Amino acid sequence: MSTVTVTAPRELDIAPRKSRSEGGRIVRAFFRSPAAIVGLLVIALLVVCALFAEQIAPFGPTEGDFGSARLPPAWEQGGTWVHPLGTDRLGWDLLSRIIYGARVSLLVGFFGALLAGTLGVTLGVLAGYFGGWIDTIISSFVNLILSVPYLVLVVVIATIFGRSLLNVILIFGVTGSPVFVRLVRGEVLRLRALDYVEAARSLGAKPARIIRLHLLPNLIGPLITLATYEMSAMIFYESGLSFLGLSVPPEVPSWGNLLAIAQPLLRTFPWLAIFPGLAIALTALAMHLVGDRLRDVLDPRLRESE
Amino acid sequence: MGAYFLRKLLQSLLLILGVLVLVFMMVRFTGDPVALMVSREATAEQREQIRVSLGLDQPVPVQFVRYLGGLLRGDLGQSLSLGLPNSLLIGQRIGATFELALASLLLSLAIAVPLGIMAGLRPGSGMDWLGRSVGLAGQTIHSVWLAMILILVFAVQLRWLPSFGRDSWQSLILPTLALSLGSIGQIVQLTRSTVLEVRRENFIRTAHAKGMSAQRVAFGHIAPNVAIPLLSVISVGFTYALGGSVYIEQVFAWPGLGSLLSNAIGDNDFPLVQSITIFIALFAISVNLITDLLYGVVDPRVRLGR
Repeated sequence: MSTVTVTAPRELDIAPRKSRSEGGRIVRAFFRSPAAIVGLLVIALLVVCALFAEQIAPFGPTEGDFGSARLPPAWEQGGTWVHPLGTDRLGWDLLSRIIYGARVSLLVGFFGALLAGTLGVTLGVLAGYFGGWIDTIISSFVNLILSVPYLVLVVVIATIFGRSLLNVILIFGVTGSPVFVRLVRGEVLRLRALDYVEAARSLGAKPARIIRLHLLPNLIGPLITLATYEMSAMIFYESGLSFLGLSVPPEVPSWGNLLAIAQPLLRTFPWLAIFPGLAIALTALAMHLVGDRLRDVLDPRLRESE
Repeated sequence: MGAYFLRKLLQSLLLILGVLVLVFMMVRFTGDPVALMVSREATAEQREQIRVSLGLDQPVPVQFVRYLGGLLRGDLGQSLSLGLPNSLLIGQRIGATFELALASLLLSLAIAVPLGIMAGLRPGSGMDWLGRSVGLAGQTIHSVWLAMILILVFAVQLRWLPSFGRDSWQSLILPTLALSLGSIGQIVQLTRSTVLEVRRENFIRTAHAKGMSAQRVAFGHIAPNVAIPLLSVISVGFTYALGGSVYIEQVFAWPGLGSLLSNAIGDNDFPLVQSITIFIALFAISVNLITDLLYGVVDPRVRLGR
């Protein structure tokens, strides 16, 4: 009886060196992009502003006196560094209001996208995996929502359901879900036809197990990417709703409310409009930079150019 | 061909019915419409009177059928705040919105399609960078903010163009610019990715391999194949313009449906809000239907596929 001993060629370094985790690879790849790092820093700054607005903002959101009303930004004639970005006609400090405004935007963006994603994944998996009448109903809902100009849809629902932060988040969560449904449904349809899913099914795996272990993990990358873009879109639309007076009450500082206050005063106090709009643009830009990088890192198939 | 047309038509009709049901239910089932319409001081008799006059004492299905019947006869109900038929109010405003939307669509197509094609043909080039930047700008610069900046620069500082109203052709310029950035960005991205996709096709590689000049490949092979999917940019552009008009018309005091809608929101004029939404939704669905039908005409794969 002979024993065959196989010794691995030690010096031959073919085998993968250290089995680095996929997560680690993705994180490292993400941070290789300077644009994405800048985007992430801006988002981090916003989160800090939103969480610690009381400590960071020089004034309260509705704190001020008429004596210091209508001040221009500090670097303009007549400005003061006490109010770096100037004040509005009630003497409220613009910088402080923009810092507080990050709260509404981030809350709506984060929870809106979270709700839309959760709802969208659930419906998308149901429609894609089970097909039949479930798919018909869910797809009709998706087509219905997507057939109306989004802004008009949101405006009408907000008009009917009233104006509060929670309602805005719910509205964005429900009306934002169809894009997630589309993505998930399509992917599930594609994946469930693949051999390894077929194999799992023939081994007797239940739908819940297949969905959890074989389908959802493949969706995480595209979902995170889409959620980032959706967050930015929701912040955008929330400021639009605020501008129309359909989001949080007018005295709550949100970037859209600030724009609405600035509009009639545009000619005399232009800075009141310029800075809140800049805050929206900067936030959306940061989220897009992060989203683009996530897309490249997480989902090579979606990569844009060669 | 006939079957395809019929199917698309039927789908659109179902969508329209869906929108009607949705809007109808939203208004009916979110509290008492009468309570939303009358002042708090109204007596119970007054409320009852309004209820009967609006037909709200009838069962819900009866209400819906009546409402549908009214719609078919062109009766969109009465505005609460203005006391005029909604159809009349919409009729007065539709021209202005259509003008603005059309101008925005034309401008978007004229700028975005060539830019997107050039960007897609040379990924990594300066044009590509420009195209991607414009795409990003469309998703990060809020149209309300852009509108205000445009007013500050061209109306307040330079005094070149009027900033409100609809008196001369010059008054169309600033609203069109503000309205178009979003759709330009969207269309550039769509065009660019379509070109990139077509470029990966085998027949393009063959054309290059047999020694065809890059220019001939671009015009003879890529352009016709890009043209077909690009039909959809028309409906994208229109939908964007209709949605964006809600803000833009308000900023520029443009007498169209958008400003009518934002005024109706401010006045809690539910019947008017509802009618305008339905009208815009029908419009968007019709544009979509026309695009789909055009697809069927130019691309046999679409009408035969599935």
